[in-house]
Amino acid sequence: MIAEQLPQPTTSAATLRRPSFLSIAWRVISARPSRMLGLAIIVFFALMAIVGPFLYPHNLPINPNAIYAPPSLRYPLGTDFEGTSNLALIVTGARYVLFAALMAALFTVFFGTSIGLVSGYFLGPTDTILMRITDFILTIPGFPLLVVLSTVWNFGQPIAMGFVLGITGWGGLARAVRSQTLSLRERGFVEAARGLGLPWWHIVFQEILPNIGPYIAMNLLVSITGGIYAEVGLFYLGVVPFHVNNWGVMLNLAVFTGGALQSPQALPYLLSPLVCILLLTLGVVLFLDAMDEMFNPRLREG
Amino acid sequence: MKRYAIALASVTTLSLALAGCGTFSSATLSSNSGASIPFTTINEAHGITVGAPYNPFNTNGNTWDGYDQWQLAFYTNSLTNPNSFIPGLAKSWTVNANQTKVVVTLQPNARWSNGQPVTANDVVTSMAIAFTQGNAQAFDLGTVKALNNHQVEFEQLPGDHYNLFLNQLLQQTIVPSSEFAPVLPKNIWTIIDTAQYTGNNSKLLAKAKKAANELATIGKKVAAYAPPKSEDLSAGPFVLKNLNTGEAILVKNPYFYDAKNVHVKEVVMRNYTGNEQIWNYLESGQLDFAPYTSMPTNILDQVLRTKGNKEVVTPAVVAASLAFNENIYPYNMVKVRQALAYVINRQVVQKIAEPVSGTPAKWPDGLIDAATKQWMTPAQLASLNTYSPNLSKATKLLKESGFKLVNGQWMMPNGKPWTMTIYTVNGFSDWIAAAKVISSELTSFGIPTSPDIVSSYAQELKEQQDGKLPVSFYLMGLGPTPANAFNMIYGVADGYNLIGTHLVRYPASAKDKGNWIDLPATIPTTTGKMINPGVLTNELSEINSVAKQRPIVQELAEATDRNVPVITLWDYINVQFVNTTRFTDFPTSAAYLDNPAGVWMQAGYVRPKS
Amino acid sequence: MQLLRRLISRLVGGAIMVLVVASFTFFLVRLMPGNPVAAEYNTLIMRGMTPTQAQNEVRVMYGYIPHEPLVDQYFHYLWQLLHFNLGQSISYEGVSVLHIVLSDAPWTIVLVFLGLITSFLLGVTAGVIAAVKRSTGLGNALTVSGSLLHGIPQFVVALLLAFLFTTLWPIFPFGAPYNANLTVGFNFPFLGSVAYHAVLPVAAYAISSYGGWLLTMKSSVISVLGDDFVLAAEIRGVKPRIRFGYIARNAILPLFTVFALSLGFMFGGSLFIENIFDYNGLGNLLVTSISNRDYPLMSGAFLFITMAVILSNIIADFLYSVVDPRIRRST
Repeated sequence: MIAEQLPQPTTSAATLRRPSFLSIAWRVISARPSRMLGLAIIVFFALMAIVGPFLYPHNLPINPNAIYAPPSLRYPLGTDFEGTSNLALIVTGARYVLFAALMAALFTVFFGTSIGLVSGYFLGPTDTILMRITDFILTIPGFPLLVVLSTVWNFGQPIAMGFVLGITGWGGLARAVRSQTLSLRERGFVEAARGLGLPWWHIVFQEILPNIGPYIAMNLLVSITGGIYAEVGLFYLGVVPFHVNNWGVMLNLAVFTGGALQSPQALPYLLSPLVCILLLTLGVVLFLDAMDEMFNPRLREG
Repeated sequence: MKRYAIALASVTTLSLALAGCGTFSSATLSSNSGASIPFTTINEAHGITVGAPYNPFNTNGNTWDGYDQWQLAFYTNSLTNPNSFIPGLAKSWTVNANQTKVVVTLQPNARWSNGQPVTANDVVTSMAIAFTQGNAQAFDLGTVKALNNHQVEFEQLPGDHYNLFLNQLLQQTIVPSSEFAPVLPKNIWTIIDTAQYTGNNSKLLAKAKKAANELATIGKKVAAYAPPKSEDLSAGPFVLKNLNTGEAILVKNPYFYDAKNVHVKEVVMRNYTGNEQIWNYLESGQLDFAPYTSMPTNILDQVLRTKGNKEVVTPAVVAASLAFNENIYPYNMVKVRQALAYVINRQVVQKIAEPVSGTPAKWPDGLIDAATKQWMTPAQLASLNTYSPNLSKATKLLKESGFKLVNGQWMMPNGKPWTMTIYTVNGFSDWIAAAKVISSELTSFGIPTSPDIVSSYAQELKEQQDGKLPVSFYLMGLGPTPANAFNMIYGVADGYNLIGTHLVRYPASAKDKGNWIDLPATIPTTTGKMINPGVLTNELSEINSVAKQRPIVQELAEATDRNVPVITLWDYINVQFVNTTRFTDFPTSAAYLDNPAGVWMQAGYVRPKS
Repeated sequence: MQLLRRLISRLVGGAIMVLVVASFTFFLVRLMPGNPVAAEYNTLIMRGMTPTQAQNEVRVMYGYIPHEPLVDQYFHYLWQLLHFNLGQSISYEGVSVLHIVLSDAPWTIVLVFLGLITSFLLGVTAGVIAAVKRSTGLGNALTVSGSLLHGIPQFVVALLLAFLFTTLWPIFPFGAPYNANLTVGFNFPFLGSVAYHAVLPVAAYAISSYGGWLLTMKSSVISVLGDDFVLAAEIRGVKPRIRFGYIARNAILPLFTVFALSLGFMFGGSLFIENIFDYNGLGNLLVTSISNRDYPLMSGAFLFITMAVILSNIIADFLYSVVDPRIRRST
């Protein structure tokens, strides 16, 4: 039902890769200020997620005299419906959001890569069955499925959220990895390994996997943003009861209890998480450009 | 506090359509056939559900109380006189001295929107339906008799003296027998009579139980029934013309008995999915009348800035509270509940959660403050504990009960750390905000607390009844009389049920009997006198004289204040809005304003501006 | 013949998928903690119904009997499903799920379809320009716009549109699909009203999927530009207009493969877009049914969303095989 995705197998990566990966990476990233900016944004949010919760007390103070206060020195991003600083909410809320998204990306990559590799390497009935499943996962609309799963699944822990996001989202990656594996398995070094009688797992994980590693790394990044959108979306819709503060909860409360779409006062409460999501998107888009070039030498030359 | 209603919301106003797209002006005007401007409003009870039957007994039925769904009469929400009514289909009524027998005389010109007269038979059928819905049992209705085509006699169950008999009777919806009788079995009244038996004969009791089940089954059928007429049959001032998922259009019912009073030709009922949508309509000045909607101050400011919008404030008889399940440790301890009352700052909670349409509750005595002031003497008022925020008092109370503060967190006498979950309801934005504030207050006091959200109010009530929620939000008051208010605590929720004329108390362990507050059988008042609150509350509902009610109300209020089965957080204020740009001559008295706008219109209020 | 066989095999595949999804929701609801079906049954018994009565009630609601063995329940459910009986809604008392779902489905399908067409046309055009002019400022700007919009989640787009065009500048209406005063039918005022109301939601769909089309089309065109036949045509002096035709036709084929992903994404977006713009489509139905814990309705809405995606995929695949001569002949 779904034909192959379009990624180009990174053919010559094998020869260029190892000796000075970091230096190449740095050269590519620093080639354009936009890429530096992208990297900076990603690092910024990663730091926020790691150290953010330590910067504020466990229970953020409320202030009934500063409800929906405008941005000021004391409240750089304004306050919410109970006078809590939006900045504090953003910073402390980042961990759940980003950690769950990272988990989602890891699970996606794990399922997608292993199924793609196995399917592409073995072909035959294994391939047919796995690709049927992949087609199925790809066809089922992912977000509605998540919403339905929210009735049975407890999303309280980021890892639980990440797992479900991963298990519903690996289809595209599996297809892409399979098609790359298909082209790699006919190459000389794989043929040679097979000729030497090396076990299949050695060929798949030692010979083929490293060659599609860069592509997977890019996907990891894309999956992280995808994960953020999905989980924030779930909280926004309010189908997942919220026990923890995070960006999606902020969006939900801003729109449904603060009337942020109806009154400018509550707007900072809505815009704070919204802008964070946009910034992070921007960071990832800018940085992906660098990754593209790093792993796709054809582009680097041209 | 509007729930997420089911379907969707609405459309362009006329002005928007005119401004936005020229093609609409002619279409809209021609379809109104010179009917001038429609009166736009929302219904607080339900939105619009395309496909739901035109049936007032269906939860989502597409009929609108006070417009195309008409009652015998409409209550004025008087705090002092439960029998003060605006006549509806009942032109007049007479009551005997002990209020057990009522004779209702129908409007002589009352007709259904198909031109057929409204008869006593319609009323009798409607009462049979009221039995299938459990509504008639709620006011102890015994017998219904059509005296002639225009008069119906109602009598309470023998031996009963329910003092809201007339009050609730008059508020019953009347439906056309021609449409609804087919869904009822021929022997419906035999079933009802059998189900009414409450004597000691076990054989008859078994029969009664079976009949009651039968009634419930018929009730479900009635609720799901789609009357065969394609459009609804209305005895009210309006009749449904058209509806889609965004709005329902009702036009004037030419057969309405007081049609000459009605100056509005068309009513547009907007749909909504949540409060934020109603805020939108209000801000754009689209609603000519908006019944109570919870909103934060920033929205109120915005709404009042819109041309023509006017705030209309009337008292409400509802309060929001936090209720304890005393069957769950440690909330069985009076001192724990008192301590919590001292920790929770109700001023702050109200300011954040219900800033526009609430006032912080002064006394947690089970009544709204206005009623407390009305029923208690100044001396008694002074003796009530207001539980002003006082953390040291709370600490003292907890320590007395064996609680220990370890590393800033309270440990319960059983040695376990004390954590709390406050249950609230999805879509009730004010409750959710309040739960968050209270959580942060309690957490900083040393009780790690988090809010949790139950999917719907009905679901919350069910989980409360199942005894699953130790601390949860609860509506208090809910009625004009103190008996209504105390009944919320010391009624079914505390296991007290009126079976026929006998008051029975089910223990909390009795499944599905609804005892979840589970107070001790007797509780002390301020003076230390032990009273039985369930029995007193029931007594209160059977006495007609205010003088005789007063001492009971006072005792119950004192006992509630001292035992804190619920912490009343704030009293609601009924903040509604009218828009005076398109219409004029709005009513000013609360008697009308607390009713749907259709009730104003049938009395001659509301005229289009020329 | 080839085409027909392909179509039939796709239809069979689709039917199997629907079966799997239906089974999934069945077991999901059935195995839910605090099984709502059994809970409903128990409540009815406690309310004093006889087991038979309660069974009948629950069967009406869910389409099967809770105390049968699981396998029997399952087949019972599937049998009802074959007769298009999706049970009765709990929150819409006494209304059949099929009725609600059918009345809501058209709005979702119309909006998604319009959004799809709009984003496809815009995205593909912009993609071609971005590819052909890839070394100019315009090309770069288009590519960046595509990457950014591709990255912005749908609910952000929808929220921003709603804020800008209904609150800040109230140009567009908010709410129902059309003005209820108009007679429903094939008349200009009604269709105009529908279109006017649909502008923002369709824009939200279109903006959020425009980037995907653009990026795919761009890379596709670039790869076609390097193909021999294009070079040959250029050397042979084929007119640019006709050459463009060659390129577009060959470059557009790979887009069909993005179609499947895009559809799932669009229908997924309906949950937000219908919620934000207050449309009563399947997405909103799914969300409200979950907040009302109306499981029969939830299963119905989810099944229909999935069926819409599967069907659209089959149609797309069929069109693909009609357009692409390689498939028409072989496979």
